[in-house]
Amino acid sequence: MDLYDIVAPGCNFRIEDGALLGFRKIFVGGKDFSAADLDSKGKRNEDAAMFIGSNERELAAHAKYGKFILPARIVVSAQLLARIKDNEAVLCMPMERITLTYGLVRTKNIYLMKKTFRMAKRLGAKISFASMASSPSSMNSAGQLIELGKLISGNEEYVRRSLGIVNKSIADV
Amino acid sequence: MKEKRRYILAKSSKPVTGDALPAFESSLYHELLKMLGELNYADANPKIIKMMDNGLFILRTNMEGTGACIRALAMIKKLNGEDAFFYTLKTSGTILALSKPRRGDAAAVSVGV
Repeated sequence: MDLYDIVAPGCNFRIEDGALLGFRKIFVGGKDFSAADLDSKGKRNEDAAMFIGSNERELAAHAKYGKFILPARIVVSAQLLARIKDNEAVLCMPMERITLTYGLVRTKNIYLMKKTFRMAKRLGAKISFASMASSPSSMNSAGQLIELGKLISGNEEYVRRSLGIVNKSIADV
Repeated sequence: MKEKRRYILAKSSKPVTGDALPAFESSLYHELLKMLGELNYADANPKIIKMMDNGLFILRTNMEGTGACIRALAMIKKLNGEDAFFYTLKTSGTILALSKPRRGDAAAVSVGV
């Protein structure tokens, strides 16, 4: 199965590094898909493929078919997850929250992400494990993303499906 | 019974050559120890067995500790106080298999076997 990664807008890397890291393609925000920050004031792109924000009501309102939702907080409410599941949107879980933090903050993030994953899986929401790297130094290879995803989910097949099928769907939004 | 080992082909952000190699190995082991903890480090028993050009190196671990080492390499962002990061490119049960291209790979990575 071909694997895909999603990185944040502004992440500059060489195209050949994507193949070296084991990905068929790495989707870059702003180039391969559009992202909208719901916390920023001013005009926003309502047709964006990914919505980032801290207000769960706004995120729920933008959780439409195929859209990627990236909450600013790690733990999200069951209502938002149910909305994501009902509208067949995707909950994005960025691995940068693990790789770019240290010590107790990192361990707390891992614990909270596991908790969110368990709740999302129980409700049936689609989940995307992506690095959401903001720079090449925080990007990960496919093997690393699979292991980090296994740390959260405990299931390698689930992570591979997420990296292969779910992540690819951002190009279709 | 014989220990089952896995070989991880990894790439460092900074190429390491010659005199800098012992310091690099030592600091990498210390960082892995920090990430894995003493008990998991003992299970994994990581060791750099080959250092190549362009920052590529082969890390040998026990089978039980392979996943933990790959995660630890993803989380290491500093080495000896300097910024550094690592990508794990392949894992295999033999060193020879690390140099063979997988199906669909654009090119094989030479490990000089």
